[in-house]
Amino acid sequence: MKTFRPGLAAMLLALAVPLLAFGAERQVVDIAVRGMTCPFCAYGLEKNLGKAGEVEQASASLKSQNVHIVLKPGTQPNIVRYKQLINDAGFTPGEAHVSTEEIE
Amino acid sequence: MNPSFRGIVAPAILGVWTSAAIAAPLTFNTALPVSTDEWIVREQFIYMKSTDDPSPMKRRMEVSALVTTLGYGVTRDFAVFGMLPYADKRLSMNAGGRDASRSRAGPGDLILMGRYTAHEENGRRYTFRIAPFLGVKTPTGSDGASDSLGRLPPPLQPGSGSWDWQGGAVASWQTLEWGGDIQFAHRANGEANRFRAGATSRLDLSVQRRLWPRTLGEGVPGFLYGGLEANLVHVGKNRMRGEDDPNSGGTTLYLTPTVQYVTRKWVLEAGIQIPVSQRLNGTALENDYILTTGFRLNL
Repeated sequence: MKTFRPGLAAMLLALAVPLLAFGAERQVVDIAVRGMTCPFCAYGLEKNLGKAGEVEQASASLKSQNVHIVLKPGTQPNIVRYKQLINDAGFTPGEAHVSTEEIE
Repeated sequence: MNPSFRGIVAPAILGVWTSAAIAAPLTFNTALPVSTDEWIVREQFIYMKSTDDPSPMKRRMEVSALVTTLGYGVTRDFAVFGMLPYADKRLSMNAGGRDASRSRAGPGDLILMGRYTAHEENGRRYTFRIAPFLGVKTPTGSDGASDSLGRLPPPLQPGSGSWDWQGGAVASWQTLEWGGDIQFAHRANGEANRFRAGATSRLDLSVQRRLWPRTLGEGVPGFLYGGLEANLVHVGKNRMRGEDDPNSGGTTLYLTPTVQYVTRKWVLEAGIQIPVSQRLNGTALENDYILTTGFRLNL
């Protein structure tokens, strides 16, 4: 009679999850931000973009004067909403560029 | 006891009450943004010493204050601020050949302020903004404190007992390397206990320079700023029982070297206000220096 081994099942599942995710993609959005000049205000911008449910992470770059938005897998970008959130943070949004990246 | 040095204490505390946001001046306001729904808290420790007494009374006043400021972005253009000081005020003097010392510690008057960004220009690597502001100081602190010698004079009371109004405008220009601010503010004081502190008008300038990192990398690194501020403060004469106090008020010019370390979530800052010119009326007590240090948090 075969016995169920929970430890073995958990190990197989842990190995399988990364394999399932392999090759999956998610969308990323880069938006130019005008008027962003200091670290403290950049954080306010990142926090504001986090209000959009599909945003997994928003990272501002002072040098490049843009914000890099990583979306949750399987979600679509809402550029109008992101630009509104940038505006709400006190800055002026510029051009937006959407691309895809592989989930590592 | 002469109440004339209230004209010194009030502008010192007044100067810091509106600048909760961003890498900006230490001693006055800024027009830089507070995001919608964003909370910012600022805690400042201020130590002020005034010992240069032109009268034979050898007056010496020291004020240590902890000032808590909370800022909130109502909209992208409108932010509100609340500030509550807790101060320990000590006055010693020689009267009639005897040394006397009086002191009081306690929460002071709550200040509420609104700031609206009326003009804004955002470009690549720079921003320029103009923001008028209006505030009121509410009489929440005790103004009837006394000690064994009787009722304390107005400068030693934790609160003024009066409603005081302040308005002005600030313009801020900032790039990734440099920042500059200019402000004009006026404060009119109400009357309480038959005493009205002199109105305060001030013109402030600030220049900040990013010292580190020298070369900007990707992301959002911490910035170290060095700065220099100038505050030209004119205080009118106090009125006591309907008459001007000839030994109160005057004009002071402060220079303030500052240093700030600014990260995404917090700011550390310090500066010392040095009076380079004091033209005070009568025997008004002159200020030695005002030391300010503290932090801000982006909640």
